[in-house]
Amino acid sequence: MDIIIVGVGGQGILTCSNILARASMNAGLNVITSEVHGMAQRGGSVEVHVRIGDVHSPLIPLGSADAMIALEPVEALRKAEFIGKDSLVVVNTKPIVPVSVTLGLARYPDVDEVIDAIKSVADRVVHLNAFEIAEKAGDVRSANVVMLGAFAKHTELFTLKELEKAVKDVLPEKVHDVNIKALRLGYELA
Amino acid sequence: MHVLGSEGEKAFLLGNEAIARGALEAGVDVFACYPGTPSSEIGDTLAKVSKLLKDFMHVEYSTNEKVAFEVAMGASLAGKRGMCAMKHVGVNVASDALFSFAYIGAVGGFVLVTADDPFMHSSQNEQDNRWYGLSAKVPVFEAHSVQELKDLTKECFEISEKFGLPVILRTYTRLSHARGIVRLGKIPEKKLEKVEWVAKPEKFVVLPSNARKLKLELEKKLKNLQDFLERWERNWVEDGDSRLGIIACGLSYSYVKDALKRLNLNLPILKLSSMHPLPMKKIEDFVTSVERVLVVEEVDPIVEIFVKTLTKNVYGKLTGHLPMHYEYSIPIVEKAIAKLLNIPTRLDYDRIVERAREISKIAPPRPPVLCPGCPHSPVFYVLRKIANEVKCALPSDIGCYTLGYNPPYRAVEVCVCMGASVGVSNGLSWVIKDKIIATIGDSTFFHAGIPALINAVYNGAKFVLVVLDNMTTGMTGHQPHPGIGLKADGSVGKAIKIEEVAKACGVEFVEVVNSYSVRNVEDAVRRALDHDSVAVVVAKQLCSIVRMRELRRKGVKLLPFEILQNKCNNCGECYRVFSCPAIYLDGEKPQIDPALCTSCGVCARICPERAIKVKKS
Repeated sequence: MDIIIVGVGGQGILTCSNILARASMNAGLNVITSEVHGMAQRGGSVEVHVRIGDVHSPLIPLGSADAMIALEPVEALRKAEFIGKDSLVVVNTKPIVPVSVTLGLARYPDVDEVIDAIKSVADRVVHLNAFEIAEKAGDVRSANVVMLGAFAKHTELFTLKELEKAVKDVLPEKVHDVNIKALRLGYELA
Repeated sequence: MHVLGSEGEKAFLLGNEAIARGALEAGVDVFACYPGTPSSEIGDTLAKVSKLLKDFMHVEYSTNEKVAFEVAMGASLAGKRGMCAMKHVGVNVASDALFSFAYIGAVGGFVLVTADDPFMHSSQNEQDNRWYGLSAKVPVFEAHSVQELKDLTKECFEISEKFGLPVILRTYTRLSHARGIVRLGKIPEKKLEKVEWVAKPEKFVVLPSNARKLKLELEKKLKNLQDFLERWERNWVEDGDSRLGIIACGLSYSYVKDALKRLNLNLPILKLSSMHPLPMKKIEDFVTSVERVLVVEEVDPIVEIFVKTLTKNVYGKLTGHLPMHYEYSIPIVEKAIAKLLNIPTRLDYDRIVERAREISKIAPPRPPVLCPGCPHSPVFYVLRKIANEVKCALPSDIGCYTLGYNPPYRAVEVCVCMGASVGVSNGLSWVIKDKIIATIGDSTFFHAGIPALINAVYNGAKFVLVVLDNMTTGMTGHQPHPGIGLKADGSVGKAIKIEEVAKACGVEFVEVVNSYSVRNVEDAVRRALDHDSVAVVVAKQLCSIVRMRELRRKGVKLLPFEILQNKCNNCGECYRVFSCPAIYLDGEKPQIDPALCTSCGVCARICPERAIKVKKS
């Protein structure tokens, strides 16, 4: 099972991959993740590869991700080379507008346009506004965990319960409640 | 700390944490580094450990990689285990010591970790540091997984001691920044205890007469090591059912395994972890057991060249089956194998990339940017303003502030290597008519800026050097440096002030300004430009990430700024000339995102309409 998580530096993408990795370890599965530090963290595009099962190398082959979790819409497009017809793509519809747009050097597309573009590659596309759902859960910073909840609903890899345990294993206790709520809301509303 | 788990436990470790754990299991005595992506977490992990395991070892952030190397070398010469870690280009800085230490040889185990960066994710080049092993006559090892990286780190110390050689452990971004499940070994119970110094001047002093003898010894040591590596368990052969064999080096082994699985093939593999010296007999046996051989290695065709001395039927980079640039992946290796066997790849990767490129055209670029509240931004804002009036050359250096290259600032015109801003300014000052304003970070100033500044004073070069002092090593994860006076283990050291260093170097014009005080920065730089010799302006303000973290810890709530819509005439000064990522366009008009605003107040200072104020809660 290959899962690519994409988004913008600061959205909690590493937390997502750590939760998935923990859930894998809890289930007795092999797991490798791959990330890039440094330049990538300064508000730039971030991608993390999560590979679960009988794999050796850290990078998902092109066109072969079983799932993509996109915490930001256009970031799903930027990494579209990793998805294919059979990929499940879960997209957060809340844009983070890059500075290139504010400076007037580029345009941010309509989110519908983005979703349509993803659908032209992958058959299974699920989209939700994780930002609003996270607000409901009590903290906008839990949007990443909302996305994991949404992912859990459409995959048989992990049950919601297994992910709840992994969330508790990975995150500090004081944020357990809000994140479990975020996970469940993501699951329900996706 | 998960890196300190007990023996037998399984931990999910970052590659760099695995290196740190391996060093702990080897009972490392002295660790020194200068941070650099993708190596930084090795030092950061050991620094954290040193706060918990007091007296186990000495850990330090050194002023540069050459010093870090020498610190670890000192420990080795006294019979203790020393380790240093750096990014690949850091080895260029340390290489002077490396070449001669090879002659002297290690007494206590000595390991140099080089973190190479194929694809240049966060580097200026993708040099292959295995060449250093060949050139300096130092063994080089690579691992294929996070588990092996941990085990190999420990073993490097043992090999170093057994053969009396310094050892290079080569890792790369995709291993250092991969996480995998690692079964932990034992961390010995030990204390760093001081020993008597045993002087061996005939060995430790590389006078020509000694060096000539040492060179012969070095050759002997390498020969002994090569014999050992012929039988070493980390160089292994896997049988297959094809006349095409694959030599897979380090991490490339993992790509080979996955690619073969996707192609449903079972090819013979020779997996190599010793890159220098190569087990040539083992390679010869393998090569003669097959008809053709594909060599898979990142970045340069080093093993391929050696294999070429054994057979003509070798394929790889030199034959165009594998690329000479960037990092490998499963599809790249799959393609090379498929081409040699004349079979299709599992998927049409070129088509996948082409289609993805097509649909991603509507995605606006998102290059990394300076953070909200970054103290470099107002300085670049001033430099761009001045450079628009007075033609200036704007050399800069390595750090977050290299992002000043991007619009709207475009205030970075040269960036080569650590400290080059100052050296290049020396050279420019003798040949260009324009003014020169160089920028350098605080940590970079200590690393390599000082000798070139002394050079400017001594030789009479004339330029303005703006030190962007954000009181941390920002880019690599906020490591302390000599200017702050905090040490790796969290204890207080002596702080060395940049302005005092500049004065002591003989610079006559030295001023310190607050980076957020745009007017003061501008005033100081303009006066510095009028000064008739090299001038230094230290623009000082804490990195906004560190500042916000500290304020949050203290429970201080900042009041964000807001744009008064009735006063704003949408001139664009705050988001188009000064570019704060917290300011976005809501339709036509700018707004400040309160979640991102760090209350630095720079936008309010530069707003011509005075339309930006602290938000009244």
